[in-house]
Order: sequence, then C-alpha cells, then structure tokens
Amino acid sequence: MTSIGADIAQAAGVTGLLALTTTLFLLVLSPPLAWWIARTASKWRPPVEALVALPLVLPPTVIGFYLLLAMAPDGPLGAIALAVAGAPLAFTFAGLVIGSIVYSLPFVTGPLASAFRTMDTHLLEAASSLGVGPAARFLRLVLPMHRKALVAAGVLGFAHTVGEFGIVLMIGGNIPGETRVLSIALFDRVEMLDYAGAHAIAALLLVFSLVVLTFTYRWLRQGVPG
Amino acid sequence: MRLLVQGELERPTGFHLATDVDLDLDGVAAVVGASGAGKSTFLRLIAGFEPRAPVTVEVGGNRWQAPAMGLPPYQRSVGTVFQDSRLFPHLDARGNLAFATRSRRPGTRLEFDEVVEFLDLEPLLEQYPHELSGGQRQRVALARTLLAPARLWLLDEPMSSLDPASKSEIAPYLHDLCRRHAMPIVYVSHSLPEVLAMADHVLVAADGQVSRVDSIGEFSTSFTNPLLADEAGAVIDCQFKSYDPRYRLSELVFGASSLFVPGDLSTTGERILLHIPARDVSLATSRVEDVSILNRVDGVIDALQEQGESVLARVRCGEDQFLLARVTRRSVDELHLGAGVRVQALIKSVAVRTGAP
Repeated sequence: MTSIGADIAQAAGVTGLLALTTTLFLLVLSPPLAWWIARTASKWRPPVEALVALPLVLPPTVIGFYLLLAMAPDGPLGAIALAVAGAPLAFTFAGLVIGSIVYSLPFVTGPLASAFRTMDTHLLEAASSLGVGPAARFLRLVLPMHRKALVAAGVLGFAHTVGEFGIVLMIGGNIPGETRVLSIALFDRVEMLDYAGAHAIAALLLVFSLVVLTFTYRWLRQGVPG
Repeated sequence: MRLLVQGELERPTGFHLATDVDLDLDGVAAVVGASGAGKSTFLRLIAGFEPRAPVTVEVGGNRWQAPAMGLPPYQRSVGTVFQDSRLFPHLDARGNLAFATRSRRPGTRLEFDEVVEFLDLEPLLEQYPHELSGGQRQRVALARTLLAPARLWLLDEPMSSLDPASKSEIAPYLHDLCRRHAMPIVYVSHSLPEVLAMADHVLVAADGQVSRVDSIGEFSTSFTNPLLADEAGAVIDCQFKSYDPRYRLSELVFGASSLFVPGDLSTTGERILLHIPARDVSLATSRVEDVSILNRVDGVIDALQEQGESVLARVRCGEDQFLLARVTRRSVDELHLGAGVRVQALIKSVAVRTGAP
C-alpha cells in the first residue's frame, strides 16, 4: 500500500487533470449552447434547456448509470470509441471526462445563458450594421463583452468537477492514477476507518473550494467592465 | 444612386407605415417628421433590421429586400449612425473603430487616418466609452460608421440625444460630412432647420406614410406640415445677387423681393435656402419705411390658422414662395387681417442655410 501522501498526490493529480480537461471542453461547448438558449425562439429551447439542467436535479448515479450503459463496448459511445480508438470508454480517463462534461454542463451553461440574456441587443445591431456577420459578432463582441461571466462559469465548472463523486464511481471505478479522484480516495479512507487520511483529503477539498470561490467573487466585483 | 423603398409595414401593436419612395439619391435625403411618425422605422427598413417586412428595398440596383426575401444588415452595404451611439463598452475608441475596419463587406470606405483627423479623434483613441462625453461618443460612433465599407449612410437623429453643447460640438462635423457628399446619405431628424442646411431631397413621415416632398418652401409653410407646431418657419429658395462690402451684407432675391443677410454669400453657390422662423416675422398693413428692420417683403395673406394664444399667418410673396408670421389675435382683429389682405412682412432675423446644388 502506498503512503497516504503519495496516494493523495496521485488522486489530486488525476482530479486536477480531469477538472482542467473538462473545463476546457466546457468552455468551448457551453458558450455557443448558452447563446442559442438565450437567443433562440425555437420550440426546441425548453427541452434542450431541460436536458442541460438534468444533472442539477437527478442523482449523479442515475446519469452515471446511463453513461455506463452507453460507454460499455456494446453501447453507442463505447462502440464508437472501440471503432475509433480501439478501446472502450468505461473505466478510462476519457470516459470520466465525458461524464464530467455532462455532469458539469449546467454549471457553466446556466450562468452564461443568464448573462447572455441580459445583453443589449442594440449592440448586436450596431455590429451588424458595420458588416459583421453572426459568427464574428459572437467571437468579437459577445465573448469579449462577457469575459467575466466566462471566467466565473469556468471556475464554477472546474470546482464542481473537482467535487464530483457519483458519476466517477459509476463509470470510472477506482483505478489509481487513471480514474481515482480525490472524492473517491476520501470515500476509501472512510471505509478503511482511516479518519486521519480522510481528514486530510476532506480539508484539502474544502479549503480549495473556499479559496477559489472567494477569489472569484472578489474578482467579479472589481471594476473591469464586461 | 437609386433608392427605392416601397411597401407597407404592419405591426401587431397597430403601428402602420406605408412607404413610397423612389428617388435618385445623389446627396442627402432628409427624412423629417414628428416622433413616432415612422422615421426610424423607415431607416430600419433600409438598414435591414426589419427583414421580414413585406417591403421592397433596392439600393443602386441591388435588391436588398422584397416580400419574400431580406438580406441581413451585415450583408447590406449600408452604415448606420444611431441616436444612442451604441459604442461597445468593453473596447476603447480605437477598439471600436477597429471593429469597423475589419469588416469585409463590399463598398467603399474612408481611410482610418483621414476619419480620425476629420473628427479630431486622436486624443480620444485610448478612452473607453464611459470616459467620453455624449458628443465625443457620437463622434466616435460616426467615425466607426465611416470606416466600415458602405454605399449608403443612414443617420438616425444623430444629435437628438445630445445636450445643446454637445450638439453644437458635433453639428459642424455632420454638416461637413453631408456637404462633402462622400457617400449618399439618408438623414432622419424631427427638426427641419437642422437638416435643411444639408438636404438635397426632403422626405416626410406623417400619418403613417413616408413620401417625397417636391417643394421644400411649400411644404415648410403648409398648415398640414407635421412639424409646424414645434418650430414654424418658412424655407425660402433664393438666388445670390450681390455683396455689399461696406455693410457686409449679401443681397438675395426671390421672386420680386430682396432679402439682406449678413456675410459674404457669393461663394456658397447659386441657390441658397433661407429659414425664416414665424416668430421673427411681423405684419404691417401699410408700407413701413422708417424702421430699422432691413428685410421687408410685400405679400398677400393666403390663410390664417389659430394656434392657441397666437395666430399663424401664411403670406404669399411670390409664385410659390410663402412666409409664415406668428401674430397675436388682437393684431388680427385690429388690423383686420384675413385671407386676401395685402401686407408687408417685416423680418427680424434670417438664418442662412447654404443651399442645395
């Protein structure tokens, strides 16, 4: 058995990498999705919005269960992974990233959509009148104008991924160095009645979350427009 | 360049606008009308912000909109200056201008240095919109529009949201821009005197309709003119006759009458438009000679209209030239003023509006 310190360090490394990868994917996926949700008049908006928000209300194990089925070698996602990469998704780091993206999606998309909804549409008209098309308007006007909301949403997504447990347990299992994240390591320690180790991990997660949120909220209140 | 805007727009709110405009736009077309008359909507139709309206919009032979189609604004080569400057708050003035210079739609554009110099923007380039005054913001917005490629500029009451100081700050730039005729311009305003100085064509928005006015003089003095209530005044179409350097007065003629205005107007072109506010015109029923007022014009009262405390008199003083005079009801009774009465109009002030070509 590895030492507590090495175990925590390894789990923290997996956790950090998972949260970072997930956040990067979310920062690419969420802004267009949030923009669509905020602006569309389509009848598909409510069901899509509900789908995105599901992780907010469902037990993570429910989502984890369905993702596990999908990522199994005979599931749709698993089959694609097998065909493309030659390996199934379940119990891999890649599978964990996909699960985390689904799970943290509302935490990034929701705040962005609220921010986008309050945008002054007159500015979009002005950009359009300058000959700037929809894609360039989004990249050059909407995103820079909302850089604070983007950072806040990213931090929230990151912190939320760090704290995830149920989905990881279902689709990632507990493979050290691959899918064993801090929250799982904490659970292990408790099961082993190693309360000292559990304290160390729990305190680490608590302090990390508190510090990150404090700095984010403070930064959000500072002068810079946008 | 031909500008065609024809059709009817109906909104669920009950707002209705019919437009029948087809003109050869080679300068500035002023669109005047009271608030809510549809002036801005008319501009929005050209700019492309009403793409689903069943209206035909053609500019310079290109069809931008028809009942079954409508190009989005960014595909129309038209630059719009809005009432509220609509600068992007997260960018400084230079960043706002850069937005326009990177646009790649067809059309001609002015050079960056030229525009910055024209609008004196050099000291403002590193400032953010919230650090600028209203007039400065509008100058940056104007520059931003001039830098984007276009074949037509639309100015939507560019001065209406400004305080008097900012107005007088930006007015010369707008005037210069319009007189240079770098591009055809449609200029919306609720103030006829504001646009008269620059207008080559006048369009009127009234009673849910936008249409062209043939004679500015007749329009400005017509009792159905929707602008009459605010700032009644006649527009007189004059020709320069001579300049008297001793008194520094220019003599302008219209019909059989002469008007003297300060300054040398010999270089302003053959045709000169004068705006004569009704409140600055008095009427006399006998000829007055020994009076300090220089400008005395003979005419016949055409019609009277009571407007609250006062009466507006329309005086015919030429073939199709009219003056407006605001007089008291007591004067009307004492002088027996009425249609057909010969009068002499005494004009206290004349605002020169250098005229259209």
